[in-house]
Amino acid sequence: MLELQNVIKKFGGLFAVNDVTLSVRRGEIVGLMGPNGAGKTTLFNLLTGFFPLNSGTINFKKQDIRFMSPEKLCEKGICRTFQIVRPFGSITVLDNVLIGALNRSKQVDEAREIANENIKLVGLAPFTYKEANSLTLGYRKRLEIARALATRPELLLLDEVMAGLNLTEINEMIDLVARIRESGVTLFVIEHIMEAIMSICDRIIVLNYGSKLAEGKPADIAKNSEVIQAYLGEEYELA
Amino acid sequence: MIEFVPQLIISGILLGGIYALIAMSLTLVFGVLRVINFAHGDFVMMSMYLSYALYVFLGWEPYYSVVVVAAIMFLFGVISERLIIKRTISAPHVVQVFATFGLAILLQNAALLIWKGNMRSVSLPYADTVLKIGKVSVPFTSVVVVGVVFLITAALFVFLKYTYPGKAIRSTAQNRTVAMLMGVNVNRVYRFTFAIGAMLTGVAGSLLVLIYPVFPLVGLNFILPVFVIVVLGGLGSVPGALIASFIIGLAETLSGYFISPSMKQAVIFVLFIVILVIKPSGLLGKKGEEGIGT
Amino acid sequence: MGIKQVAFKIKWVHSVLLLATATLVLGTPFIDNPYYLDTLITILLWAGLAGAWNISGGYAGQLSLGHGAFFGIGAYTSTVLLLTSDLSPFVGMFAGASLAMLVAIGIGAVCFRLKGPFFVLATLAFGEVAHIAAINWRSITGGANGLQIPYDAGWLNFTFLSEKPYVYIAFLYLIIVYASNKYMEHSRLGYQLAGIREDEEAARSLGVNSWRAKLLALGISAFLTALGGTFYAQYIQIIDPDSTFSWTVSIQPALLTIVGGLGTAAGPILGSIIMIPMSQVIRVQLGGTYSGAHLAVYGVILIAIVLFLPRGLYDVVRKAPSEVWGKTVLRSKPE
Repeated sequence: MLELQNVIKKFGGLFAVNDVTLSVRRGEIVGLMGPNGAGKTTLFNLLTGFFPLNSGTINFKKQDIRFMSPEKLCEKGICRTFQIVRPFGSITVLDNVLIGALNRSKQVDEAREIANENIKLVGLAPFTYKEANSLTLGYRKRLEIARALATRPELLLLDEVMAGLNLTEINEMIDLVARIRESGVTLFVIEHIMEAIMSICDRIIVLNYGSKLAEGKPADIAKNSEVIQAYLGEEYELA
Repeated sequence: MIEFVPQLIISGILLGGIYALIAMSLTLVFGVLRVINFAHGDFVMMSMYLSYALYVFLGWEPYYSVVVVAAIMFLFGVISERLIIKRTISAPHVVQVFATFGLAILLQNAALLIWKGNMRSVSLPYADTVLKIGKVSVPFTSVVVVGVVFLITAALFVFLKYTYPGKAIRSTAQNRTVAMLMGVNVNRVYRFTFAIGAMLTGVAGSLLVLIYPVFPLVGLNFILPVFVIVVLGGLGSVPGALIASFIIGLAETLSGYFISPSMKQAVIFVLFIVILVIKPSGLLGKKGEEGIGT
Repeated sequence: MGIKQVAFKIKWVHSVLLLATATLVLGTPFIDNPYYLDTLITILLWAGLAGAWNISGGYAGQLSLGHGAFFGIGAYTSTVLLLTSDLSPFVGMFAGASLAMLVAIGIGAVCFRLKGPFFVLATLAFGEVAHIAAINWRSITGGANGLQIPYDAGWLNFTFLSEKPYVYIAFLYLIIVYASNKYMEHSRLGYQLAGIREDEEAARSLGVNSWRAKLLALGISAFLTALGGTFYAQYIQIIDPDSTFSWTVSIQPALLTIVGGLGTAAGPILGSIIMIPMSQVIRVQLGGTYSGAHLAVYGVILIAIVLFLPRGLYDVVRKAPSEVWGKTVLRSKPE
């Protein structure tokens, strides 16, 4: 579904993404890992039209999406959440998700229905009419997901949705991700929390200093000595 | 036609000097506080009136009273920062724009109430002399302005580079969070910088009152080209503002002659729009600065 | 959106405002004081202009201080068409509004890449360019002397002997603008603009075409502002660059809206009802000796509102009932 070939993104002399080739098949949950600064979020930014790339190709559903704007990409079926949550603070949860739903549906009433469905899916129903700013971090992350889901994406990019959550919240989030996959959405997930990423992903890709370091099943990655070395000094977050 | 060109060029440079006097303080304040003071031109107007008043009521000549005016304006800067500007720094754009705009309207009309609309000027025999270099006339007052501009630039350079307060200001301009972590009292830096900006308008006003007549809306004549200069030079860049001032000064004088006097304002604005389209970050500005509100 | 649903969404403040305005307007046939009628017309016109500004300034978050350009385009287009082709101003009005809309799209295309104060500066520049153009393009605009609208009373000519028809037309204008504001609040465009206002990048990643949305908002805003321009031309019967393209025209709608409540449909109306009579009173009382006093007051109020009540007076009024209610209920509880 998603194919990257030899993608390079430079900032000045720094190779943020260095000759990365990877693919994501429909229905998969693929994880993207790597130490801080490895280029994971930059890769997401390239995929969602926030930066132009320097060279390489990116194809989504066989279409070249390299130069499409964020809004066009959303229309095509790619949506993302942000590492640092960006809710529409002074409006309600419902209106937040509604704005996402308006991508697919032109009617406000219909969009509101879709919004309510997604709010229920992520478990935010009690907060429907609350101002987004009043939510705690865990709920804001869910809002971010609900909003993205409301756009009816085929490919959902989750950028560190577990960061900053406690144990219970992480487990709830893992369940949520499973439910999202069940609803037919393909997932590409950046995550630092080992237990989470190991348990939910079918396949994991590891980046280091912008280049692809390793790729494979979670169990294999966990044993990969290069990967362990790259993370040396970082404790595994067994959470 | 051609024989006028040297005169036009010199006049353009002198005009640029006048604009630079005002533009440098505006861009300095923006670079540190990230606030565009829409009332900046009216600060200049206020200083012009102050200088005028000191001359008319106390007989103090502007070139001497400039110290007093600068001190008063410094104080005024501290007060306005405390009361108004401080509250706009991390606020939504509406607040920032309209708080300073409101201040501008207030100052203009306060001046109107106090001084009425008549034009007033200070004219001193020695100041009114015009030097002649070949075929080119150079008013003494304008030369003083250019001289002061270079003095101020040098002083600012030394101050910002070598003194602790100067370094504190520079670090706050670059990254306020890190500056705070390094122990810089950022709020005091804001107050101080704004006050310096106001003080510099005080200097400008004292010098300008000998060149232009003062009336309540005189600030508008300066502020619009100065906004263009600040954007052209790159927001926050004092050297950029300096260079841009001369460019705009020349553009204005040359278009005033070769196109028409009434259109020279339009030329400046069209230039402004062109800059915004082509390179909004200006000559020496950092990319993206023009998108910054906080 | 059905009529019934829209009606339910009109909160009590709106009802009060609309009722009050309607009463004033309906009372018009019985009032002959031209000064009173003129003030009423001024309030209605500025409330409409403020509401028009609110569409791009409030709902889209694009603080333009160049709206004078649209007002002027409206005033001059209908007038020029009237003078040259004998075209009824009611038709010329739409020509002017359409032209303003096109110009707005051009301005937006250039300026939307700028944020915050820089957008404001750019629109100021455009407004001034329009002003200077109006003064210098003598062949079309009659230069600094302006143009006179021929006095030929009649509905087709949009010219009337008494002030009363003007009151009704101004009221109609206000209703149209108010309805547009309400539409902004409950339509797809409105919601998208809310997202853009909060976080444009996040909105775009959700599929919102922010470019198109902002241009549409500015276009509608310009269209409505220009309609007001034509009304002004037909009411005052003489227009010149300084009264139409000036920055007073650009600032006043912004000021009224901010004081009343930025981004709300009732805000512009509230702002006008309070500020316009107040400035009239100040001008009359202090005008001669203290000209500029009302503007100084404007300045102070603007600063105060923006720093302490950024959501405008509407915010206070809206909360008032529940606070008052809360106090009465509490007081009746046994100690």
